[in-house]
Amino acid sequence: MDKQLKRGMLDVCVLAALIGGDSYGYKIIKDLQPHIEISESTLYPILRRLEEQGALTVYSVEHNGRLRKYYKITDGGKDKIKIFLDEWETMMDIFSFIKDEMKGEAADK
Amino acid sequence: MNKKGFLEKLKSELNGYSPEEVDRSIAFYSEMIDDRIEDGADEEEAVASIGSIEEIVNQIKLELPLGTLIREKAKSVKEKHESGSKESRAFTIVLLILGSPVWLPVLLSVICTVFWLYLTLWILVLTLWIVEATCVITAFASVIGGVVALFENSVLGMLSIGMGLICGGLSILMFYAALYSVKGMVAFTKWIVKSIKLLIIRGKKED
Repeated sequence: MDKQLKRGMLDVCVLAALIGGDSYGYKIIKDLQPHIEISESTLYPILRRLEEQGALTVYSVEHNGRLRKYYKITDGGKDKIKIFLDEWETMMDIFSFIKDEMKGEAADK
Repeated sequence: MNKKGFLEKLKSELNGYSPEEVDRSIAFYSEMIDDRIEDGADEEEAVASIGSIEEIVNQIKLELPLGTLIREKAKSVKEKHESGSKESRAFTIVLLILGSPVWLPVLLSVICTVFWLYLTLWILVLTLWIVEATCVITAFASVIGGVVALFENSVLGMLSIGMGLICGGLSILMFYAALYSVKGMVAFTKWIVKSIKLLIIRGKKED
């Protein structure tokens, strides 16, 4: 997948992983891994970026005698997901047009 | 590698970043390793699955704005260049001062020698003109003297006229020789001036 495209996708994937409830780093990776390739080294800058953008907030919870950081999606983060879905609605229209044209060409032959 | 070793290495690799930034990433990766251990992995396994430190640092750098990266790069190159040239300049000055008892007399004698060689060439040209003048004077004197002498002693008079004519011929040759020698010297002088100018321009460019 194109790097820029994947980067944008990953941001939204991380936000989507927080829709069902607040989550922590390792859980986000485990939840996303079946759908998209993600590692700790890629997740860390994404979380930082999303926090700076105000798409999520961070709070610490004590867990087994250590602190674990939990991430909570904000309204701004939810808007980001909506924008992504709207954009892809348009993208999907274009996609089906291209696909139909290719089908037509295959039928002509 | 165990968790402690991994985090220490990460910390040293992030040297130069703000302490806040370093603490933050250490906390993140520490938590990640702990969660993996809690999930059933042993310490070595958990550290290995985090990925390479190089990759982690590169990802953090990638998040820096491009402008900041370029500015930092330019700054480091500039600092390197400035400190380098300052040191080399100081070194050159020290060498020049320390070496002055040797190079100063050598340089002066070279300049004197070149100057005297140049002057000698002009003296040679002057000599040619003196010879030319002598030839012209001798030619006129011999011819006039010969004509006068012709009445008293025809043989001596003829000899004198002949000598005068030879001198006249020589003087015409000598005139061209002297003329071209002056032209040559003027061209030579222009060439020297041009060479010195080029030397300065190239020297400045190399600086």
